[in-house]
Amino acid sequence: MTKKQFVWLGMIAVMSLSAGLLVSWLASNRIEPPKGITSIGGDFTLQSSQGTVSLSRDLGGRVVALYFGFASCPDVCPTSLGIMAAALRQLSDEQQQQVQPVFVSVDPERDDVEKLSLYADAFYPGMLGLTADSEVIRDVAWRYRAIYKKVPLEDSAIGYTIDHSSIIYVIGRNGVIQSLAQHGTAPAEVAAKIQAALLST
Amino acid sequence: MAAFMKTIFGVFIFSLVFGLFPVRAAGQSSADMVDVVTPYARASLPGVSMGAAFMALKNNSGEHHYLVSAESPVAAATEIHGHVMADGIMRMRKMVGIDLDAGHTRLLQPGGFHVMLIGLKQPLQQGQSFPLELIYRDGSRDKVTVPVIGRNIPE
Repeated sequence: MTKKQFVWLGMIAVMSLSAGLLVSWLASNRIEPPKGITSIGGDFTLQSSQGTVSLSRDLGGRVVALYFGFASCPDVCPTSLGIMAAALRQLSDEQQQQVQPVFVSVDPERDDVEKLSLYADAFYPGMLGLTADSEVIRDVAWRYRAIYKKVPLEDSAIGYTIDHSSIIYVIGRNGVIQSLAQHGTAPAEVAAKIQAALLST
Repeated sequence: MAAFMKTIFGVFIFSLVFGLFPVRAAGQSSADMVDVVTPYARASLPGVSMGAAFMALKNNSGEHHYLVSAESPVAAATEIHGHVMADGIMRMRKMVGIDLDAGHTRLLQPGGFHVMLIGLKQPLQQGQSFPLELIYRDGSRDKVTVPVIGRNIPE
């Protein structure tokens, strides 16, 4: 064995040992994956009448109940936001303080932040009404798999409507979606989902 | 006496025929034959000029009736809209009319049909009421008073 070969062997031995130690260290300190539905959702930054609102920066530490819709939606969105508000009122005062309800308008053309602020507050004091430029909204809606499509109604005085999914997203304190409530879920069931998120995150 | 009996018999036959068929449906307008039950609208939300009126339409007759439009002085336009929920997507469309099947009650309720009030001149306020006219295919009209209720959903 030449001196050069000896050095090489030594280097390989050291590298193998390091790799082995690293693997065992990773195994012993394995990071727990976040609880919840991690394949969709995530952080967002949108506009409110009070300025920019970011999920991680401004709403972190609270459970968020999130709904995508539009203010001129005559019956589906008000029904869902009414259910969200009724669910929150079933919680104790202490629990309610740890929950932030959020309405996101996918119709920035007709909904500005001042209007959304008053609109959301009418359902539940402190409910945030958020929106953003249509590109930003499209990106956030895509990441949450909230589906919406502007549809012209040529024979109607409303001009256009928006076909949309109607889901309440319950986001944990960790910013990860904990559960979904499909359209028409009863307030008590939504309240139970929020409570579960309060307890588990 | 025979003439008297004949008259009595005639009255009897007359009563029998009209007793068996007390309401001759033909010739009665849709507005006469359809009852509008428990109409209501929810109070307006801030900044929103759209509204919706809900009710039950009870067709008491043995014939088909057809609601084609509605009018109200509180809105710039009044239309009949319906929702369809398919694959998790809620779609709202303007309807050319609503079928009112013989002997059936059609519900106009959240998530289904409603009378859409577009461009409300004043916000609808809880405790108020407003006039609405329902117009049927035969041209007859039902005049309805719609009370405005609050927004809270029962818990």
